[in-house]
Amino acid sequence: MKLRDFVIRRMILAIPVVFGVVTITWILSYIVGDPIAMYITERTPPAAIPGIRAIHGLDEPLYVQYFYYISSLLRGDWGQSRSVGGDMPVLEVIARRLPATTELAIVAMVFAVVLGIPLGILSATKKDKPVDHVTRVFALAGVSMPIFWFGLLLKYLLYYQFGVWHLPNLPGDGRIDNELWKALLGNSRGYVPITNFILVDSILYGEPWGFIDGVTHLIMPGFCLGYLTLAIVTRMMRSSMLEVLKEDYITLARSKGLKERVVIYRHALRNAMIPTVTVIGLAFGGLMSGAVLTETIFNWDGLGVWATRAILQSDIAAINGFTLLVALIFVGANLIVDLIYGALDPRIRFG
Amino acid sequence: MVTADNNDLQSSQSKTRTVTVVLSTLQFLFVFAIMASGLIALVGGLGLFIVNALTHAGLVMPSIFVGWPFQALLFLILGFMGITNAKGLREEETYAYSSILYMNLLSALVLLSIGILGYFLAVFGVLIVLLFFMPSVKPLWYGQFKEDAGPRAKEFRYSLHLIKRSPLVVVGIVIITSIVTIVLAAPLLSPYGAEERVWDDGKLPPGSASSALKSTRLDLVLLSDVDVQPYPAENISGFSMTPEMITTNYPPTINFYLSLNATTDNGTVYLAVYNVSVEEYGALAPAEQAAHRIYENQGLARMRVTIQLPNRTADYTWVFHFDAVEKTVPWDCAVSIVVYYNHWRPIHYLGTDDVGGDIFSRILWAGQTDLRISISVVLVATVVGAIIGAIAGYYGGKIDELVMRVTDIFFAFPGLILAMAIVMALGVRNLDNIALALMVTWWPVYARLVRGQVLTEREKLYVEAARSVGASDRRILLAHILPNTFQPLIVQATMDTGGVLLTAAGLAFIGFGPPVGSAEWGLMISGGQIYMYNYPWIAFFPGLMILMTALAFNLVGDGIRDILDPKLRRR
Amino acid sequence: MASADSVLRIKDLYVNFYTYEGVVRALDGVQLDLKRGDTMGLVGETGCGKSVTSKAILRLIDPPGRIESGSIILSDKDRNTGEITDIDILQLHPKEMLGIRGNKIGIVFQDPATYPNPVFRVADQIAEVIILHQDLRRDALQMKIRELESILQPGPRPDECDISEDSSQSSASQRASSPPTPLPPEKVESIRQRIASYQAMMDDPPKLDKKTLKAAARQRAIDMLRLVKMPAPERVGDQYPHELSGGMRQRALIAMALASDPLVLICDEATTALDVTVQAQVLKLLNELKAKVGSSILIITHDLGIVAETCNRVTVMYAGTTVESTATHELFENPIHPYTAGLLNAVPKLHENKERFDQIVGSVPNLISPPTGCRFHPRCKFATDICSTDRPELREIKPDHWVACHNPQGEF
Repeated sequence: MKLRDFVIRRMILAIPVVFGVVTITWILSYIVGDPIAMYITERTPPAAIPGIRAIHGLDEPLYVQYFYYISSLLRGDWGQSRSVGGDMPVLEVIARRLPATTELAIVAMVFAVVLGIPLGILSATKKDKPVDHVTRVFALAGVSMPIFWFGLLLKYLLYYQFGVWHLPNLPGDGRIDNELWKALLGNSRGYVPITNFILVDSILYGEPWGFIDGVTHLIMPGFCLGYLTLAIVTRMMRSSMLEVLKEDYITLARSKGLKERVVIYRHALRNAMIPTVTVIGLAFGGLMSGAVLTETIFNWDGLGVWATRAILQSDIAAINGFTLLVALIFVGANLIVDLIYGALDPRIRFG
Repeated sequence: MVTADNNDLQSSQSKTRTVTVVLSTLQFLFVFAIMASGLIALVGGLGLFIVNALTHAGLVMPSIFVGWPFQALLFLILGFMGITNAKGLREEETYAYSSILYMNLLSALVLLSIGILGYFLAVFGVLIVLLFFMPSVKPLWYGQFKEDAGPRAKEFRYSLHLIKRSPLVVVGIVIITSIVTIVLAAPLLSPYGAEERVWDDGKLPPGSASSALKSTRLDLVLLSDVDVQPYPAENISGFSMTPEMITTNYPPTINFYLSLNATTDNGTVYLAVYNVSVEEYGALAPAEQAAHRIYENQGLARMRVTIQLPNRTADYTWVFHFDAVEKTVPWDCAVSIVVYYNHWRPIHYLGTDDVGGDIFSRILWAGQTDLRISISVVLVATVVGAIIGAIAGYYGGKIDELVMRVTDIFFAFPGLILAMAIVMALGVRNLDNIALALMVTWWPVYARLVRGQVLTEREKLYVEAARSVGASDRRILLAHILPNTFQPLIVQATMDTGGVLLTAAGLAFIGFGPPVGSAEWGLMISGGQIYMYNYPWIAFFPGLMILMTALAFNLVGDGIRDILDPKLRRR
Repeated sequence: MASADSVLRIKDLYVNFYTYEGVVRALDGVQLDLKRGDTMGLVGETGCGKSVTSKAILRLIDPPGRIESGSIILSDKDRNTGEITDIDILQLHPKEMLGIRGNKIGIVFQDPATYPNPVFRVADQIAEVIILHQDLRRDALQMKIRELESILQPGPRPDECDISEDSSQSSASQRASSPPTPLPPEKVESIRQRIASYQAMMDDPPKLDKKTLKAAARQRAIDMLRLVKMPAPERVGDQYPHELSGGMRQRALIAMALASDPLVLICDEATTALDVTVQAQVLKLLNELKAKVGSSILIITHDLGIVAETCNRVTVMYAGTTVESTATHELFENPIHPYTAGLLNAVPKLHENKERFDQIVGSVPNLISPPTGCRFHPRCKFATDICSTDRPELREIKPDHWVACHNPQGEF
C-alpha cells in the first residue's frame, strides 16, 4: 500500500488507544472524588458552582456526563489546575510548560544521538575487545543510573566543586539567570516569555548573551536526562549492528572488494539504523513525558514538576490533562516512528 | 517358587502404589493450601479494596493475607495446573513428576515473597519434591527425566562455559552475590539499627568516630529463687572487661545485690571480689588470693555493693555464698550482678545523615527492603504477564486484541507516573503499596514479550506436529511453546530487577514511598538532597548502591542475553 | 576452448576452524586447477568443503576459521598487453585483496533472498562495483556524446532483449513523446562542435564529477542487466531486491559479479535455492555468457546434473580433500576414484531398472577427528592397509585425469 494509506491506517489504529486513556482517567477521577473538582478550585466563588455544574452536565446521568466530558476536552476546556500557585486553565499551563520540557528533551536527544550512534558502531565493530567492554559498561551504567542521584552529582561537581576550585562552572538551577536578563533588557522584570523556548526567544530578543546563558543552563540537565537515552541508543545500535554484520549481504559487499569502512558505514549502517531510529523516536516520546525527576532536581519549570505536584495535591484536572497529553505524545511519537521506519526500509513501504 | 516371586512383585507393586497415593495426597494438600490462600487473599483483598475505595472506610485485614494479590492470582493459576499434576501422580504418569518438580520449585520461590505463611508452604512444597528422590519412588521417573533433560544439560554446561568466558557477566554475578549476601547479613553486619539515630552525630563525614557514648548494662547474673533447698555453698564466677567496653572518661561499675531470706533464722551473705580471672583464682593459694582481693564483706541477710572498676581491660572474679544456721527449712534468695559501662559507638564508616543515622548501617537495612521489593515485583510481574501473554498469543483473536489494547493503554503512561497514580489510589503510601503499584505497572512488559514469542513459535512446524499427534492446547502451550520463551523472559526479568529498583527508589525519592526516616535508598537520597553541597556523602552513598546493584543486574542480564541467543551460540 | 594455461591454481590448501568442540579440519590439502576459458564444476556432498574453498579463494573466511597454509595462484592477464603475472592470493596484503575481490574474481552466492542489500536499488548495487573498479571517464564521455547526438536525431534507442510487454509499450511511448522539432542551425552547429571536442578528448578524458560518474556507472549497470537477460532492465534497475523474483535477483547478482569483467567467476551453489525451471534458465544464461565474457567459471554444486550441463571439467571433493579431477565426459564415463564411482552409481538413471539404489555405506566423517590416511577409507570397498596410514596424493593416472587413491579402479 502507499505510504499515505499506511499513515492513515496507523492513525486510525491510534484512536482507540487515546480513547481508552481518556476513558480510564475519567473513570479514575470519578472514583477518587467529585468530578466537579476538575473545573473549580478553592478560589472559585461558591455561587458560581451550580452554574459550572450545569455547563459540564454534572447532574446528569453518567453516560451524558461522559459525553459532556469529551466535548469539553474537544472544546479546549480541560479544567482548572490549582497546583501552579494560582489557578490556570490546564491548557494554558500546558502551553506554558511544554516548551520548557521540549527544549530539555531535545537537548537530551542531541546528546543521545550524537554520542550514542558512533559509540554503538564502535562497540559493534570492535566486539569483545577492551573498547567494547568499556562502552558496554558505560551504556549499562546509563541504564542503571538513578537519574535523580546523577543530577545531584552533576550539580555537586560541575556547579559547586568547580566553583570551589575556581574553574568555570555551570549554573545549578533553573532555565535562565534572570538577573542577567534584567541587565540585558534594562528593566526590572527580566525575561518575559514569547515562545518560552529560551534559545528561540533569545534570538527573538536579539540577546546573544541570553542565548549563551540558556545554553549553559541546558547542558547539565540535558546531559543528565540524556544519559539514559544515550545508553539505550548505544545498546540498540550495537546490537542491531551486530545482527546486520552477520547478514549475507555484508559478505556480498566484502566480496565486491569494498573497503571495510565502506562496508560498515554504507551497507551495514543503513540497515542497522532502522531499528535504532524507531528506538530513538519512542525514547523521545518517553523523554517528553517522563522528565519528572530531572526537572525536580534542576528546578526546571516544565511538565514533569507540574505533574508531580498535581499528583501530590490531588489536582484532578491537572492529572487528567497531563495524562491525556502524554497519551497524545506517545501516540504521535509512535506514528512518526512508523513513518520513519517506512521511509528507511523499502520493504515496509510496499509490503 | 513362582508364587513367591509373584508375591514379591505384588508386594513391591502395592508398596509403590501406597507411596504414590501418599505422594499424590500430599501434593493435593499442597495445591489446595496454595489455592485456598490465594483465594482468600484475592477475594478478600479485592473486596477490601473496592469497599475502601467506594466508602473510604479504613478497614484492615490481617497482614498475613494482604499485600500480595498478584501472587494470589498466581497461586490460583498454579493451583489449577497442580490439580492435574497431582492426579497424574496418582496414576503414576511419568510426566507428572517432572512437572511437579518444576512447579513446586517455582511456587516455593514465589511463596518466599509473601511472609511467614509463605515460608511454611514453600518448605512443604520443596519437601514433596525431595520425597521424589526416595528409593521406592525414584525409578518411576528419574530415568525418563534424565533422558529428556540430557540435551538440555549439555546446553546448560555450554552456557556455563560461555559465562566463564565473558568477563562482564562474571563481574556482574560477583557483584550481585556480594551485595545480596551482605544485605542478607545486615542484622549481623550493620553496627547500628535501621532507624537508630545518634542525635549528637549529625552530618558527620565518612570515617568519623561517634561522639556519643552508649551506656550499656550487662546482666551477669540475675536470678530470684523462691522456696529453694540449701543454696550451693560457694558460688564462684568471673567476668572480663573487653576493649570495646573501655572509654576514656567513664570507668565502668559493677553492682552486686544479694539477699537471703530464711524463715527460721537470718542467714548471712558473704561476698568477695578479686581482680584476677576465674582460672587464675583457682590456681592461686589462699594467701595469694587474698592479695588480689579488692572487696570483701559479710553481711546480714542482704548486701548491696557498687564497686568502681579501673578503666582498663582486666578480669575479675567474685565469690559469694549464703550461710544459714539451720538449713532444713526452705528459704528464698535473690542475686543480681550487673555491670554498667560506657563504650563508644561503632565508627560511622560512611558518615551520618542529618539526624544522626549511620549511613553504612542504613544502607544495609535499606538493601533488604529494596531488594525484596525488586525481586518480588519482578517475579510476580513475570509470571502474571507471561501467563496472560501466552494465552493472548496462543488463542489469538479477540482475546489477543483485548490484551493488546490493554497493554497499549498501560504503555501510554510513563512508568513513574503510573506507579505514582496507583500508589495515590491505594491511599496509604507505604512499601507494600509501592510493590503493588510496580507490579501493576510492569506486568504488561512481560505480557507483550511473551505474546510476541508465542506468536512466532505458534507458527512453527513443531507446534503443528505436536497438534497432529493429539496434544491438547494446554499441553502444547506449557510443554512446547513456553520453554522456548524462557530465554528473552529471563533476560528481561534480570534486567528489570534493576529497573524496578530504580523506579522504586525514584518513587521513594519523590515522596511516594515509605515515611521519612525509613531505610530506603531513594528516601535516603531525598533526605540528603538539601545538604548536597556541604555534606555530599549523605546522598552519595545510597545512590552509589543503587547504581551498583542495578548495574550488576543489568550486566548479568545483558550477558545472559548474549549467551542464550541461539544465533550467537555458534560452537 | 580450453587454453593450456591455468588462471587459478590452488595447491595444498589447509583451512581450520577453531570451535568449542575442537578443531575442525575443514580443508586438508585441497588441489584445484582452473584453466583459462574453462568451466569447472566443483562437486561434493554437503560439508565436504566446497564453499569453504570458494570463500578461501577470496579470503572471506571469518574467525574462528583460519587459512593455515597453501597457495592460491591467480594468473592475471593484462587486458591490453596480454602479459601474464602470477599472484599468490594468500600472500597479498589485505588492502591488495580489495583489488582482487569483485575485480579479478567475482562470486555469486547461493541464496538470492538474503544476499542483496535490501535497502539499496538493484542498479545502484551493481553500479557500486563498477565505480569501485573501473575507469569510467571514457564511458562518461561517450554518454555525453550520445546525449548530444540524440538531440540532433531524436528517436527511440534500440532496446535489445526486452522480453516483457512493458518494454514495447515504453518504446512506443518513447516514439510518441519525442516529436521531431526542427532546431535552429546555430544550435546544431554548436552541438556538433561540442561533439567534436568531446571526441578529441577520448584519449585522455577529463576527471569526472560525482553526478556524471554515477550516471555513467548506472548506465553500465543497466547494460550488465541487459547482458544477463533481465527483462525491462531500466525499470528493474530502479527497483529494490524484494520486489524481484528469485530468478531475477540471481540474475542481478550474476550481473554484479561480472560487472568488472573478472578473470574468474565463482558460482557457489548459485542455483540451489531456485526452482527447477528458474534453475534451467540461469544455467542457460551461464552457458550463453561463457561465450560472451572472457571469465573462467568455477561452478560449485552438489548436483551432478548441473555439472553435466554446464561444465567441461570436474573436480570431486570429499571431506576436505580433492579426490578426482578430469574432463566431464571422462568422469561420467570412467570414474576412477571409488567415491566418484559410488556417487555416479547412486544417481537414479531412467534407463536402469533396479530394485534398490546403490549407496555408499557409512556417512561423512567428523572433521574434528577425521579418519587417518585417506579420508574415504572407512567407507571404501577397495580399502587396503596403506589407505589407513598414508594420504594418497593427486596423481595424473591417465592423461588429464587426476586421482588421489591408492587403489584406483577402472581402466587406465
